[in-house]
Amino acid sequence: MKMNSRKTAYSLVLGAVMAANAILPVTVFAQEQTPAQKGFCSRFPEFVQRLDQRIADRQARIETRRTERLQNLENRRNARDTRRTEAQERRQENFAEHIAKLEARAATDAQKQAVVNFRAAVETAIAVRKTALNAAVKTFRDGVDQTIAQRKTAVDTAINAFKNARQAAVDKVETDCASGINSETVRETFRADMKTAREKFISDRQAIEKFYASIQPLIDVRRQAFDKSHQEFRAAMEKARADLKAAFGA
Amino acid sequence: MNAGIINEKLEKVLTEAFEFYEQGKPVTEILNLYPNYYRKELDGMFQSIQTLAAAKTGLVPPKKLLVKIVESVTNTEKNRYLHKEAKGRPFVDIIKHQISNFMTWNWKVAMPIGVVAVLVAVISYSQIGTKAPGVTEKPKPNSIVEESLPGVAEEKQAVLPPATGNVEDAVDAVLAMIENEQSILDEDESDAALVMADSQAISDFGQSYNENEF
Repeated sequence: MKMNSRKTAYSLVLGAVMAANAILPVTVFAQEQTPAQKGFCSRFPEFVQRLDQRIADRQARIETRRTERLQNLENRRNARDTRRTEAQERRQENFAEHIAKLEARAATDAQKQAVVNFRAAVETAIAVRKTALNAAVKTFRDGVDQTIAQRKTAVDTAINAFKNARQAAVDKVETDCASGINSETVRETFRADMKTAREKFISDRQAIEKFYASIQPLIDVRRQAFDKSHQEFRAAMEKARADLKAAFGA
Repeated sequence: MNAGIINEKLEKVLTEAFEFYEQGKPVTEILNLYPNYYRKELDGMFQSIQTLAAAKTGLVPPKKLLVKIVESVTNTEKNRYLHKEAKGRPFVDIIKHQISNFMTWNWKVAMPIGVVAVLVAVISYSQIGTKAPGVTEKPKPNSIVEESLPGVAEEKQAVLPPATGNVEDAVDAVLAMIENEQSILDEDESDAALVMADSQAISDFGQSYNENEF
């Protein structure tokens, strides 16, 4: 009887152990890793928090630079437009003084008419030039704005790709740690995933920096337009000068 | 205009002219500042000043008078004039008294000066790195890019030829003004650099992940 009851007790214990093996989750065994092995998984939330904080801070800094850039651009353009308007006003005043002197000097009807023609020729040349320059300035400024917008879109895409890659890597760590995969393996996988994400971002950034090349054609077009209008203006002025000198005989 | 007012005016003119003289203005220039009817009085005043200035260099008071003055000030016979004439007194004593007097005088003067000097030094040191009152610092640009870009602050104003009635001048004036306007517009090109204003921030973002941390 004694032997039977002892056997029964052993069988029960053995059965309980086997049942426990089958029922208890795998994580129980994962917890049995050495402290060094389980270190990464246990400290991962803290690591990720720091990483996320840096990502947030640096993304905010990019936003700040963008805001500053738009503000600077607007300020500079406004200041330049104001100076240009002032220069135009000074030119009109000065030109009016010259015309008044020429009118005072004109002794004959032919000379008076020559002054009138000179004035008209100069004002026409200035108006033509102004229209051409305004168009060139607008094209250039629009082009710069467009380049900035395209750059912003490309940067946002690169940032999102990096953040998505980070999310995927973090999710994988959480799954792997919960599955009881060796902490060191989980760590190496995470590092490899993040390295890939970082390299992709760097590659995207290098491509984005090439956006600046699209500015050069804008500069070239602008210069061509300016040169053309300047040549036309000078030619008009030379003709006006010759006509007026012919009338005044000097 | 009565005599009182004339005298008052004259006094004012003389005082003012003397102040100019003290500031180092040449006499001829000062005389030119006032109407001719003050010339006589101003000439007289400056003549007196020059006479006195020339005479003072030759004025040497008698030695006895100097001794009396020094005695009245120091209330002692031991002064630099008397010790030379002191008779029957050992030379060492005289030197000792001199040193004693010198030290006493020196401490009386040196102590306050020293205290003031130390205070000034401490205050000066504490002021290092702080802004002087009333001095406003030039506002800094918003970003590094703005700082490095040309074309914001510098004001280029063309010197326009004045109207003369000459054809060449009129044409040159128009061309100069047009050049000026063009130079303003040319600054637009420098805006292109602003496209890259966020480059460093983007680069920094790429360094958010530090693999050594994991």
